[in-house]
Amino acid sequence: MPINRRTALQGMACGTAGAALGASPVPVYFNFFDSPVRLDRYTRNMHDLVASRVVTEPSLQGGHSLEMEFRFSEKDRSGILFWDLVPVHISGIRFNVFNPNPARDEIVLKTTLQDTQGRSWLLATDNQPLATNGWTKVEANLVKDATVQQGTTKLEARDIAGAVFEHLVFKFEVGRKFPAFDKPLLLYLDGVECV
Amino acid sequence: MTKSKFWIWWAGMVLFAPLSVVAMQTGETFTLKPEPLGGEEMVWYLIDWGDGIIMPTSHGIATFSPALSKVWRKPGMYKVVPYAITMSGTVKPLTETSVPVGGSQLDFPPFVEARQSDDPPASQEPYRPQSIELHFAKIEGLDALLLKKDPKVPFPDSFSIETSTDGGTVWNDVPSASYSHFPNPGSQVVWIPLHGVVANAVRVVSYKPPAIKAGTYSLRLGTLRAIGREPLFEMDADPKTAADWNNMWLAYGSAKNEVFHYFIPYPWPTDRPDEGGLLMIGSTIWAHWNAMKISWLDEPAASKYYENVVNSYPQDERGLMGVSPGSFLHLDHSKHYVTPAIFVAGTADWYLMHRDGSFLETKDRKTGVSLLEKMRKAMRYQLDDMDGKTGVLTIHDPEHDGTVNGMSGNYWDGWRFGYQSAYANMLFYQSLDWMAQLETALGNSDKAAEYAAVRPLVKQRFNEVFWNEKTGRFVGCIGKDGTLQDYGFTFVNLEAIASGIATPEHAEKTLQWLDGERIVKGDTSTGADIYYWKISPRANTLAAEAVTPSFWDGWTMKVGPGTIGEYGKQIQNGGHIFYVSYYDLMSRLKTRGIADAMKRMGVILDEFHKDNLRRKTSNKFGSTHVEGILREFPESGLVPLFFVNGILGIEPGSDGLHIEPALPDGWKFAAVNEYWFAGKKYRIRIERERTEPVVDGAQIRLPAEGRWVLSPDGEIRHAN
Repeated sequence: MPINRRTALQGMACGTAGAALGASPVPVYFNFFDSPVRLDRYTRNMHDLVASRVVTEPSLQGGHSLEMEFRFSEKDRSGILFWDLVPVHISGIRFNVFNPNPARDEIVLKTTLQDTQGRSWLLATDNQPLATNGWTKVEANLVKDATVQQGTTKLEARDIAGAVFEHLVFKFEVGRKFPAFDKPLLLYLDGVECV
Repeated sequence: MTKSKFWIWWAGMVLFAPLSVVAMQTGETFTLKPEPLGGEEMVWYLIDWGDGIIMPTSHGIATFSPALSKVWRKPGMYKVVPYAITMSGTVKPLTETSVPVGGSQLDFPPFVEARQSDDPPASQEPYRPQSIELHFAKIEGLDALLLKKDPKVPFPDSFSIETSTDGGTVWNDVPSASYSHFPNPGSQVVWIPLHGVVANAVRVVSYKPPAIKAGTYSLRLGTLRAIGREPLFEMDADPKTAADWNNMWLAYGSAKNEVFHYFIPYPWPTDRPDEGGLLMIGSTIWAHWNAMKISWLDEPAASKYYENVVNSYPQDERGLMGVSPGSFLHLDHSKHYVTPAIFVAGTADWYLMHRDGSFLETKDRKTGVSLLEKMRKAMRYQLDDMDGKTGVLTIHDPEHDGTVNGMSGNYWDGWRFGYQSAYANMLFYQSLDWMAQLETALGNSDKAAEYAAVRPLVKQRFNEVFWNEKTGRFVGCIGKDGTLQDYGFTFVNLEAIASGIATPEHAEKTLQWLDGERIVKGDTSTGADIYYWKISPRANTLAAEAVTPSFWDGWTMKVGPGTIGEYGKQIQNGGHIFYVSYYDLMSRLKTRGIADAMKRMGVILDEFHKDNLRRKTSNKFGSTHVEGILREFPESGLVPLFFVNGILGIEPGSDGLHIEPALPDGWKFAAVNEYWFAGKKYRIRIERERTEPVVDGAQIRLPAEGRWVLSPDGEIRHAN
């Protein structure tokens, strides 16, 4: 029978030293870009996301963030940070994005989690522009805050138990009248926690 | 308990122990394969060996499980309990096993002397990394890292092991040693296998240290110790070079510290984000590279797999080999007419390394044909059906006519190699030598003579037919319509030179082109840009899309500006595949000498030092087939093998193991500490100041000058 990891293994010293503290549940996955593991081992820059690198500012946690360089084109009008995961059961996600750009350069973030059954879970941040000159916090419970699609079929998130995810897809989009096509534009992702 | 009572107790335990568990002795290797957990999440396993030691594995697909080895050092009855832990942190105990162990007590391996860093200061930030380091006075091979929990504070539930070969300036992860949701080990020792990684510093790092009280996070350990192991390669080079070279072999050669989603290092690649080194792929295409990598190692399971798989390649009635067990077609697309040559090279190499006649007598399970018969038939097919005996091997299949309408037909499956292919001819040339060596070893001098007699003609014709005087390099192929397909294929030119088929003049001219000493007008990439990727040259220096119609076979993707196959964004079109550097190094050794080869190797080692070459660049379409180093490229392990094949100069021949060292300037010695040949383990050491060879049991010490032969019986002599 499965046991929660916080219980000491059978036969080992008892004790719950290290019980979780604080209100936040322990993440099942997290990454704040602190390790020497190369970005391209788990992320892919697609379409108008042309480069990314780890920087120390701005940062909310961990001392690092991911600087993403976009050159939005009139053709694609979107850049995607495609993030590969070791398949893991996730019920929620939280992250922060810093947008140093002026309000006229409106950028919208659409976040999708893809599970191992080919379903896409789109967070309800659709069509909301990123805050300018500041951080946009995204915190979502997948059952409450995601719409699920498999191909063209819409599904109910609450009917799906134990979904296991293998990709995060952060899609940054601009409108047809975006005033800065083909110019470099930076955004910062502080890190990702999945619970 | 008295001794006699112990033995009565032990006998009782053995008698009543589960029938599936054989009583062990101390020092013997016990193997456990826990039952897979199942489910969609990936899992990792943790084994409590019952002796105070627990050992974690890396993670993989939950419908598979790893085979784990254990050596007990004290007699006793051990309750072995495996646990499966999902990536989201659920822990499930699996079936227990009781193992009786007899024998005398053995010493625990000594710890490596190290200076431990101070404990990191506690932090108020949950995601501020903290680490505890061990620094060694010199580079050390590390067999394992042993951690014990600090009794007063929580054990980290999330941590990784990282190593450094420069004292802590650059750290690289050990992919298989990264854990999440690690259970509380209590008083047990956590034994983390490191398989001989070479470093002068190692650290336990937690990117989310445990909370020791509200809002305060701290990484603490009770003890942190390392158990050592002799490095495989020894060289008179600076420590960082020696360490990095060893680790390049560990990553891409033996692939011991990689993550394998199927829990074995073959034959299926591991997927993102865990792509790394791989031991081998079972297809015929890899048959020789597999033999080069594995034949000298002590890897019984991998060796058995290799011997089984080479016996399962189909062969048609004429002698053409299929690409994989059960299929003549590569990815349901095309035949590969190079398979006879690769099959012969691989199986001959394997035999000459092991000298086990029963290998050649094993029968194909479907046809009953012996391996040796298959090899001979494959050679006949090349000589007769493919006209190899005329000096130019020709592919007569109209689907592979080497024109812009033909299909691709070799490893480089983006290109339409066919008809008279330089790639196929240089492989044929190599297979002639391998088969001649094999037949000589078997005492069949007539057969050997036939193959040996053709070689000079093949070499002569290769240099006449495939050399492009205008560009000063070998073309890729000549189509049936007579068109020379010359896209500056670096992989053709370099393997040709390394194989010995190129004349010295052609070899030198080719290197001049690659080194930018000579510019080929019209090429897309010239001069220093040819080595844009640093660790190997671009696959081709003329873009596939530069010529219309193109010689590129668009069956998987199109090429051209803005496409997924755009030049510079695809491994076979302006990208690179790392294994080519092995042939680059061997070419330079052969043509210009060891100094030139070491200059190239220096660049590769510098790059390796940065990130262990764990590079998986993607293009804008998300395709990560830009650099061919990780995942389905076990042949990346050929590059560090240059130490063995180039510098130590070891290669099997008909009469034994040929050793022709090429010690780099300034090196006094170079050695491989475990090399298996003809069923025996050797340490082979080259010493510049030695004038005569010395054989002392398994230890062979040779002068740096000269050519030597180690017979299968273990005798060393000068080569003729």
